[in-house]
Amino acid sequence: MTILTETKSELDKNTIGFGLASIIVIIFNTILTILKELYSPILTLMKSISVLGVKHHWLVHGLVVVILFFILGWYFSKKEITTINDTFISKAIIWVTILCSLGIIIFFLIEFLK
Amino acid sequence: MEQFILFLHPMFAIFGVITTVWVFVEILNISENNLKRINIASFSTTIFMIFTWITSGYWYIVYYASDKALILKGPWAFAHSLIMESKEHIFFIILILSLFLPIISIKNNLLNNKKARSLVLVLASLIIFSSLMLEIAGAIISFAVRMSLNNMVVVP
Repeated sequence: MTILTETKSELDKNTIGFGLASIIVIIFNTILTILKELYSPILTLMKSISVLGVKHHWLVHGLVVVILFFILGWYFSKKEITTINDTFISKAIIWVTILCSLGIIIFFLIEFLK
Repeated sequence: MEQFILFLHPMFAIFGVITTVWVFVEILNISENNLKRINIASFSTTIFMIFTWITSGYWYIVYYASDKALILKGPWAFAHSLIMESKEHIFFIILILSLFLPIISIKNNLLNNKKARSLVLVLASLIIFSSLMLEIAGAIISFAVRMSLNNMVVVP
């Protein structure tokens, strides 16, 4: 039988770094979704970028989001972030995921009802 | 071929959900014996969600235009304008959470770190719930295509 011994260990700095990156990128994803629908030059720009010979805004959107996640995650992991506590990451990810998902749905509902 | 590609992406997503449930259960029963399994399961979630992204993206870019036109002319136009538009962008949130999941399990000693375990449980719950919502959204979109086809007037 294994006995669990709880220590005061903090989250690893990569976890905090990529956790912060997740929060920022999820918000960025929502803002980009709304912006490209409301401001056509952004959508036109995203449609004009070719990825492996394919031009599609959704492909560019996905790649931007994933690349940004890794860049920000790598950047924040190198920093000594002491102001962020462990519970903040969990709570922020829950709220950001729920609110950003709802934000996207409500935005497209408003667009549909226009 | 189109039907096969269409079938692939929800299949990979369900595999991703299953491996996430696996992570969740292993965390609830954590011991020294299942640490390796947690890493395998969380990494599998990432792989399946990336496969979902690739296969859904291929189907969406290559084949969806005809379905979109059908849906917009049918009685369930909201299935594209609201459901599909939301689905294709909410998926990126799940993808980010899935990319983050193995980083927590690999970089932290989950056995002795309650906060890391809590974070894994939070992420797993969000991935499972959001993915199942998108599976339902996919079913609504498929049904909307069928509704449009049923409403088409066939001229002899």
